[in-house]
Amino acid sequence: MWTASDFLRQYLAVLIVGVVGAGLVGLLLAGSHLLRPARRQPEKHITYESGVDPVGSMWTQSQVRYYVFALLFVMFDVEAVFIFPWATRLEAYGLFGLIEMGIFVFILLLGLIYAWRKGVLKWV
Amino acid sequence: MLFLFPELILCGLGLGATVAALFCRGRGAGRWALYGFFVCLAGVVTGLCLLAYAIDLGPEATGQLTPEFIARTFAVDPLSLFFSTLALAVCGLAMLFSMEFVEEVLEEHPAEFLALIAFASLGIACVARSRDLITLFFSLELVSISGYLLSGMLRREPRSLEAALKYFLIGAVSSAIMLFGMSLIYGLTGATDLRVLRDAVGEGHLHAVGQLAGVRMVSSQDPMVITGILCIVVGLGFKIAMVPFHMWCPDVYEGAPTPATAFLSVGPKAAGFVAIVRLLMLTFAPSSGPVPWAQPVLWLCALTMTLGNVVACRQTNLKRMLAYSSIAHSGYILIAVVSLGSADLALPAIVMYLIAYVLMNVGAFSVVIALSNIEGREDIHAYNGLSKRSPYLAYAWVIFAMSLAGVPPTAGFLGKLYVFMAALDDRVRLYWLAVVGVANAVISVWYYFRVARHMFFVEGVRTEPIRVGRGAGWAIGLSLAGTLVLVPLFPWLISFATSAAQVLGAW
Amino acid sequence: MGFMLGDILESLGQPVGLRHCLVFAALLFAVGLYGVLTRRNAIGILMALELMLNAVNANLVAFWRYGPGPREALNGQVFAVFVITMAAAEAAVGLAIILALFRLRRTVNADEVNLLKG
Repeated sequence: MWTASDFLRQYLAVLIVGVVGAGLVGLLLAGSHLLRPARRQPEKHITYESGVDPVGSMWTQSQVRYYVFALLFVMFDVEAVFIFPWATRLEAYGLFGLIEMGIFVFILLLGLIYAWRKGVLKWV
Repeated sequence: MLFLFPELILCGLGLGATVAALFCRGRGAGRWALYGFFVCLAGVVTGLCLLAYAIDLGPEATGQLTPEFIARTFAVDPLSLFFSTLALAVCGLAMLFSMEFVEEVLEEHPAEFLALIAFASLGIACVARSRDLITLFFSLELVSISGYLLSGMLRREPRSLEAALKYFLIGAVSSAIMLFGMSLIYGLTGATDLRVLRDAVGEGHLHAVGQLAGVRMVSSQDPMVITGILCIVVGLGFKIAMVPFHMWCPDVYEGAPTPATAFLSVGPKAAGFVAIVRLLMLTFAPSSGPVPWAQPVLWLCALTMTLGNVVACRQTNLKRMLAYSSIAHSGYILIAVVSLGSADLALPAIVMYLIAYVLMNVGAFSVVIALSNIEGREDIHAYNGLSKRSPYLAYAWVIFAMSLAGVPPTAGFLGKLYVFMAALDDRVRLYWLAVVGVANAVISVWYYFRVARHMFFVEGVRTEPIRVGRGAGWAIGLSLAGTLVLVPLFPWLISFATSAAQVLGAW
Repeated sequence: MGFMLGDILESLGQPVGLRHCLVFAALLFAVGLYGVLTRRNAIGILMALELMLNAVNANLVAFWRYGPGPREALNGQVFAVFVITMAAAEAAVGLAIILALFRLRRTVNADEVNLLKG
């Protein structure tokens, strides 16, 4: 029978490794902090952006046209989830399963045709 | 397969409208709405004939006409066939009253509006059929998701989108809560089949569960079972706008395009009540031992009626007023739900009330639609002097108001009568609830007839006559006929509903 | 009541089983519900909603694996697959609504969407 103390004992090693790791990193950082020269300049506090001074707000809008493609992808991707179980049991369901899946794929296809006719698939 | 034809019709209608959406706009969509109506009408007539046939055959023989793989998740019994036919009727009426809207008002995606109505109706029909938690939940979800889109169809209109956002967020959260409850119920019993669940939750009737090994019996008093069932009650409460889960309802009804509101006020609500009948009244109501959800729903039912009616008195926007009125009507139907001790009265009462509610609510909303297509507004002053501008609309409103308030020679009166009778039955004895219900019906007379007062006795600024559109006019006419014709037919209907409800033992 | 914090802590010492999954799912559901109730940003609410649905999925699959039903009856798995599909459909509809609203109002904050009241 397991008890809580057994469980905690198992994690003792994890705790020790964690403490040693944190200590080591702290030691190294503290050492370098003591050894290196420190000259404070305002430029050093600017966000680093490949050497170019950052301009404007960091909040930008991404292109919304990605969204429709992403959604279409997600929808068709998720619908495929129903096809996999059917494919693994293809023989068991036989002709009946084939017709059922045909109807399912037909409805999906209708959705794709709809998206295509509405011009969603074109990259504008 | 024969008995599944309402679902097949609705599915075909939805797919057809999707294809139509590729080609037509405006006028064309209106024509499609008309075709859709005729298809639904033919479906309803066939459905009623089949219904008589199914009642004649009895549920056993009807069930044997269906392939096994369908019968496992789809019930083929008179009651479900009846509800599917009701869904067809709702779809047909909705096609009619949104005809002018898709022709003239809705500039973008008119045919999609019709497709969404058809798919939502398909969801209602499937809820009625469901015999499995999985089917039931996803049918409900089909109704809800179509509803979110319907309420946001006017996408240049901030109010419509706001309604859609609110409806979506609240609906999705309530579905998630309901789903969590269902997962608990599934986990405790190991079954999703409603018939197995019925036997597994309760004091345990071992005999009926033989065919599924590994199903665990649980007591209906187990805290996890109660948690699960209450989660489901919360989810369904959101769908039917039961107080305190009603906050979304007035906002959504006001902001959504008027025909969408009209559909939302009958479609998802009917679906919610059908789900309540299936899940709460037939599945989680153990024949022995206390029913875990009855007590909270009893109090919320009284609260729902009262709050709906009292707040409706203060509204000046007609759509908002009808929203609160629909909350109140949910309360009336809940009376029958909590009187499940007298199930042989309560089930027919729910069936009757739903028919009456669909007819009178569609009628009242069609009056609002007819006016809002022309004036573009729904506040009560838009109705000033309507009796001079269009006597048809004004007198139709009076009839629907009588029916909604439950004044005698109308369907609404008989619906209320049967609901109260279920509560007054000797096995239930919910006298105080019936008294609250009657008091509420009296309050509701005031606000329905306040609108009639504006139509008949207040001089309007505009006096030119109103041309009532073909679709909305016909929708009003049909529901008017239904509201009045149902009354002489009621004895027959109630005996039918009773016989449909009696066969439930075998569902 | 059978629910005790001690019980849960005690059970954590045991090999992973139903109880771990249920505690995890319940916590995930609670985090999601908290997010739904406190987030202002509609997209944030949508993300919290996904957490709730995934908690349900965790529940369903755990119950299928450890619960009373037979392993061959795939009810829990099938339910979970359908929930995943529904979550995708719901996210698509929700994002479409939020996007259309953003085009009109330049905001996705749920509390700034307040034209309808009364």
